[in-house]
Amino acid sequence: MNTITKNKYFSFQRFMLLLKKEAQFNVKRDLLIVGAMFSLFTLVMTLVFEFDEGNYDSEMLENLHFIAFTVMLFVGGVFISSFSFMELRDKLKSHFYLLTPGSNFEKFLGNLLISLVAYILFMIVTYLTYSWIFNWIVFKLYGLQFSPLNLISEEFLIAINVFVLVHSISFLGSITFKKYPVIFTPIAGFILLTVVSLFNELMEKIVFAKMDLDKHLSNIDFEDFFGQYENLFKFILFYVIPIILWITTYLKLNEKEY
Amino acid sequence: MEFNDNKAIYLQITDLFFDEILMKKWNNGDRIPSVRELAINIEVNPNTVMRTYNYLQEKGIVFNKRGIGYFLADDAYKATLNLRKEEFIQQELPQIFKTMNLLDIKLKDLEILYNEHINKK
Amino acid sequence: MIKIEELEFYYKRKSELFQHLNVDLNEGKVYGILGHNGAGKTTLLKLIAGLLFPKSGKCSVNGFVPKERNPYFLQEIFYIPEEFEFPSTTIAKYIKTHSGFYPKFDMNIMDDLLNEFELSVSRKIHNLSFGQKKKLLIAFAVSTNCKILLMDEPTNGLDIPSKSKFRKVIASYFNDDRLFIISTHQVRDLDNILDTIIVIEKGEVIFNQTIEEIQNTLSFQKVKNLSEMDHVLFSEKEFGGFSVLAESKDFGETKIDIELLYKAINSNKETINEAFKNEHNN
Repeated sequence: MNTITKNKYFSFQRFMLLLKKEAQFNVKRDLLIVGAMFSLFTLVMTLVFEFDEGNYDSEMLENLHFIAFTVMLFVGGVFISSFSFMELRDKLKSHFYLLTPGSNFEKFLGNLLISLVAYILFMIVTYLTYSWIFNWIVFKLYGLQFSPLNLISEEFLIAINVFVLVHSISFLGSITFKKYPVIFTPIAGFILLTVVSLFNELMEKIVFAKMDLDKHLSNIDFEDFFGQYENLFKFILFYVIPIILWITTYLKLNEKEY
Repeated sequence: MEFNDNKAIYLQITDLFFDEILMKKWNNGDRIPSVRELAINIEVNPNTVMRTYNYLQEKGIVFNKRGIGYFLADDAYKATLNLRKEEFIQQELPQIFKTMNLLDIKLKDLEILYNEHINKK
Repeated sequence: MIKIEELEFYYKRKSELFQHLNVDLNEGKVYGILGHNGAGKTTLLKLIAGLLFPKSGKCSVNGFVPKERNPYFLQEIFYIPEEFEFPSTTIAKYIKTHSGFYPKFDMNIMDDLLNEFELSVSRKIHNLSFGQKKKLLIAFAVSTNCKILLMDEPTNGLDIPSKSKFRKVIASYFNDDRLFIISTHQVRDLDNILDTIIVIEKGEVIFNQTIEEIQNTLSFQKVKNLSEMDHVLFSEKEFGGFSVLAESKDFGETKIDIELLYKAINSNKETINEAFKNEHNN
């Protein structure tokens, strides 16, 4: 058999079929989530403008869109990435999903593309359009001028980077938990963080008890220490960990049984 | 279709053929249904129907024209008649004789009954 | 086409389902898998489909290892589970989004079968009854032209006319290149459509014979008194007499009563299998 046309890991044609299927059955739900967030934000802002005729300081005028965008990106993103591999959590549908003639890699990539790349792009375009209309109306009605969303600021890039990290966590959660990953992933994350900090605490109390840790620590210049390795930390946090978690998700999909 | 007899299914299908041939619904040289057509019709596995066709081919009642289908042989009627007669004499008649004995029916009684039956027709 | 060797499988380590499962299944056959509840019928189908992974041993299907879920393997296998749910959409849309995955999908067959099962493509799937959904899935599965079709209790939920149509569908679309496996309790629904009977019990294949071999070997009789017959392999009392299983070489070929055969195998598999060995040696 021809190995070029017969690729068992990736074929564009199969991938498009999978995307079409996802679009038909799952993207509707994603759009509803995004729609709900924008509606809620609009409602809140309307109430604020109607009832609170107070002063809007320059900081709020400047940052409103960045904050609103980031909150929506994260909230919506956690929901949408948690809804990945939806059929796998339904006993009556998961066999259909596993047996759909596409490779595990294509199925993984399809979910990643929709919940990460397509989602971010969609949110940016939608928010830009929304904020443009928002600014125009608010200016006409209230005479206020909000700064537009700045896509090339450093804060914006960091927000996206952090979102990628959050995505990789809840993406892994979506294939790990058989039910309600949107609830269980944060719980699991919280427990993990608690365990890590308890462990730290213990180390400090037991292992380093004899040393005067505070004295040692006060000698270290943290600013300098983190500053020195900042790029490394960022690289690990924003690139290495997400990639490891995505790969874990893919491997978990490979091992999925019905 | 219902198979009520205790005979093997492929033989019951064979009987179906015999009936069609003896009642002249199917005549010598006629094209007969394909294995698949018959299988669908009577809801039987095609492999079982194939067994009937093989059996009938062995008996020289049907033949296969490659790529065209199955046909009744030129002497299908005669062959069927002989086969059924033999079967009747060997299998059904002893049963009838046994029952006649039990019920004390004489051959003469049978002759009268037989003639009545014929005349009715 | 399906080769299972020394396969081991369990859900919980302490209760092994299969320890040394060995079975070969070939194309051109409609297999009927019989067995008690919990004997492992559904598990076997899932192992073949790659929905479950063997703990050890070999499972090769159509030249693939099912566990890998190679798309070219998945294109040639369709599994109809006993229970399932469709996405909420219309029949037409479902076909449109799913048929493309199967290169040999035949829309003409699909149309014919929808017609036969009286399903209109504009119907919303979630408004259909369970039986109608099952018919839709059967129609779709057959239309994919997959080599391997696995069916778990396919006649469950079908009304009497639909059961008859189901048998017609199997007779129509089954051929020498395809392999159908039907797991069932309702033997009577599938009586003449099966051509190999497999019985599994306690994780082992305890019986595997074609209808032709069964026909040649076993004779199914009804008698008033058991004393009327010698060489009885198995008998069951019923109204007005006994249903009896004996050897064909003594009593001639008869219609196969799969239920009686199944009971006989469960009560004494050694005697039954011995009869087949003897027949084979003759």
